[in-house]
Amino acid sequence: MNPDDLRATWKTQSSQTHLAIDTELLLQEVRRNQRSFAATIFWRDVREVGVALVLVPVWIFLGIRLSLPWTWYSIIPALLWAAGFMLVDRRRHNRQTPDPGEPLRCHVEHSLAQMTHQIWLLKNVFWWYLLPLAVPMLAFLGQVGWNTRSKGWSAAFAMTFVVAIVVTVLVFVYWINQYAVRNDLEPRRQELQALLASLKDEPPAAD
Amino acid sequence: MPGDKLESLFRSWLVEHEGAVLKVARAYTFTTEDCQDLAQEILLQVWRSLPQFEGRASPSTWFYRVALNTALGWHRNERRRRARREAILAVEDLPVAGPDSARQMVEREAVERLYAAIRRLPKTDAALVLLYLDEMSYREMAEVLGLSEGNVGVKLNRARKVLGKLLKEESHES
Repeated sequence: MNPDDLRATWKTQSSQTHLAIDTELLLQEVRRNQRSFAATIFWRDVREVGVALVLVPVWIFLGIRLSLPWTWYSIIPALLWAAGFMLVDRRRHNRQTPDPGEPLRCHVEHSLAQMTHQIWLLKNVFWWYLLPLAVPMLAFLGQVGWNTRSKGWSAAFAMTFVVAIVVTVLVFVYWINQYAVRNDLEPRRQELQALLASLKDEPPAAD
Repeated sequence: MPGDKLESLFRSWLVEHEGAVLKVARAYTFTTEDCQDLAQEILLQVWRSLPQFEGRASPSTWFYRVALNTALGWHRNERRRRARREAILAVEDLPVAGPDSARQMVEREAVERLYAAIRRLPKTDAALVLLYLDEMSYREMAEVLGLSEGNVGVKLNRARKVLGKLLKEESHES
């Protein structure tokens, strides 16, 4: 089939197939979608940053109320650091969100940059999130353990149990992040890299 | 742009560019259900991106950009997340009737074979072929894809050759 035949065949489809759109329903859906999109962004920020900020007064209140040792309060800077890090990162990278109306190559480049950053974030979750929280948490548990050392084996066993739970939770959070990188983000990045490679300039083929 | 103006622009573009949405959705999906889902996603992206439209590109170029960017980033498993979404559009095959029905059937089969071949192309080649079949100029294709015009020519030549081979295979198989 020569190019003109192809184009002629292509043209015939407008008389064969048609997209029936319920415009009113579509407009309702786009309005709903926009509201839900804004709500998703808002609640994601609340979940990631708000929880950490709400925890700070709760932490201070519990510390005073239960007369806990000073290491209890060392978690506060860690919470503020994690919340601040996420907030700054979100604001910096929200500005670089790809616009679907830009040329394909630019869109793929932006998507790839964003994906690469997301992978970096999750791969390094230990350094910017887990370690800053784990150190004060374990320091507090260590101090409590030291203060209760005279209470015998049952206290030591209870403390070991609590430390094991904390470590398990931290390991689980780390694992789930690495799982997302391996199974979701890395394949997507490879796909984007392949797409970008196919959009690079190439020399004319010899006929 | 105020909301009501945006809405009327969206409505009028929907009528004008419905064909582009359908073609892109058909080229990048294998089932009617996926095609409808992708078409719906493209229209939602068009709505979200409409406030950023600055008129630097023509509406048809811009529409193709949004459609292709959405199609290339779309994954079939995303459907699960939208399972409860109401069906707001449907791909309808117009009835074949009248004295030309035999010819229309042949044309319909030819279009199906063409889509089957396009789906087997690499994603960016499929995009180029779609634009070429819609009779876009090299300059317009370059604007949609973000390539130089020279590079469009090189890639399109190769894609057309591959498409020709695939079409031959399709006609042997059928």
